[in-house]
Amino acid sequence: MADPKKDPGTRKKGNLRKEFGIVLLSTGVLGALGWHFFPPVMPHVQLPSEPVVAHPLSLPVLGDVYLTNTLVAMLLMDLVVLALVYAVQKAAKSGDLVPRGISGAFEALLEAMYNLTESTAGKWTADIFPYFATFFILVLIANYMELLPGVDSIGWLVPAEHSGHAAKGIFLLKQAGEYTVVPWVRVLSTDLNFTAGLALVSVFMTQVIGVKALGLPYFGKFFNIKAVFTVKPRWMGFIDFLVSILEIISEVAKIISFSFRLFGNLFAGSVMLFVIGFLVPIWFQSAVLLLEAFVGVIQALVFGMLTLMFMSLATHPHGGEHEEAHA
Amino acid sequence: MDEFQRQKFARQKVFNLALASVMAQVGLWTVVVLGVALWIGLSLDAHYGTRPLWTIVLVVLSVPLTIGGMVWMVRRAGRRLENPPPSEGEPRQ
Repeated sequence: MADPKKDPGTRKKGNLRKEFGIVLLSTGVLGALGWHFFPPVMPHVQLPSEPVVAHPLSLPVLGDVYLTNTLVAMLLMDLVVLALVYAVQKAAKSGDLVPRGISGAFEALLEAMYNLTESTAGKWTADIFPYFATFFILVLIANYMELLPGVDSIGWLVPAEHSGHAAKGIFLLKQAGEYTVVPWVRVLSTDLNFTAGLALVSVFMTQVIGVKALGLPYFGKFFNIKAVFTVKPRWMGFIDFLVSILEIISEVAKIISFSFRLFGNLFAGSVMLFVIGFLVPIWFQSAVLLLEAFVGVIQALVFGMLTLMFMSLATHPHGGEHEEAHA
Repeated sequence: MDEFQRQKFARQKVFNLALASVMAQVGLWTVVVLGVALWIGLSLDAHYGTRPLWTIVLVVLSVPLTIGGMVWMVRRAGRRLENPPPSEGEPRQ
């Protein structure tokens, strides 16, 4: 066993444990005091995003647009993405062959993702990889905003429209009454507009890649009338035609499943955090946050992977006969 | 297109379809388990007036179920993808 007096590594580890214990204890005491003086209130759970400014912004082409709390989250997400791009670009331009820090982490992440794309998409890797990587990174950053303190919890105090969930008698308020919090920043993935937008881009670009790979005969899989005349026996051809009609429904279902899966997971996670924070304000919410960190990365991976799979499938000829023309 | 390429395409297609179905299952599993646990917990607490006991118990129990179920799902799919039955792995002739 290492002697802590001689081994600086063991001593550092011991000190870290002690510091961690002190932080844990003090946050517990502060939390308990806070709980006593300012008991938590059941938060207001609302599906649509809320405006954080009183008046709409007049934009040149779009007209009047309200700055909503999910729009603020999107701008923050864009800033994070741009900062990451800048950091990686700076590291790449420095000429250092061994990437360190954030650029090293990105290299490892992108390499793993590229290998995964290559094993699934084959020669179409260069076309499909940018979509897979973009969706994964965007959705991951959007989901991980849920873990930041202040997101979904700090905002304007406004008079409550419905009873049963509002703050009563907060010490800074001069007027007594029922209030609720409209957060300045709300998790972006809890807005269906964001998830549906991503889903539309994913499904539309799947069609673009399908046409790029197979040419116009790609659309034959949606209306395969040719099968009725060419496939023997005739009834099998008719079944192939009906299956091709089902493909159209399947494409629409993809948009719905993409948007609602991500939205449902993150919205349910946010509601669970509210409810758990209301029931047990100290400690327990941290465990749920750990689970949400897990769910956040899984959902980002699911969104990216499904895009990758659907795009790969779109590059495969549905009958085999079209491949010869475009090989 | 020769026979070898045709078989390769068919295998790749089956693999991609299977992987897509696994990802879709994994993506829905977490929200279903957590949502059901939370809803049952809140309903039981409202019924018996025991808030927050049942909610906490069921949410705590749902976490290992979520992660364990996901690992089981992925491992089962991994085994099936590594050794597909002949009817699944072979293309239609």
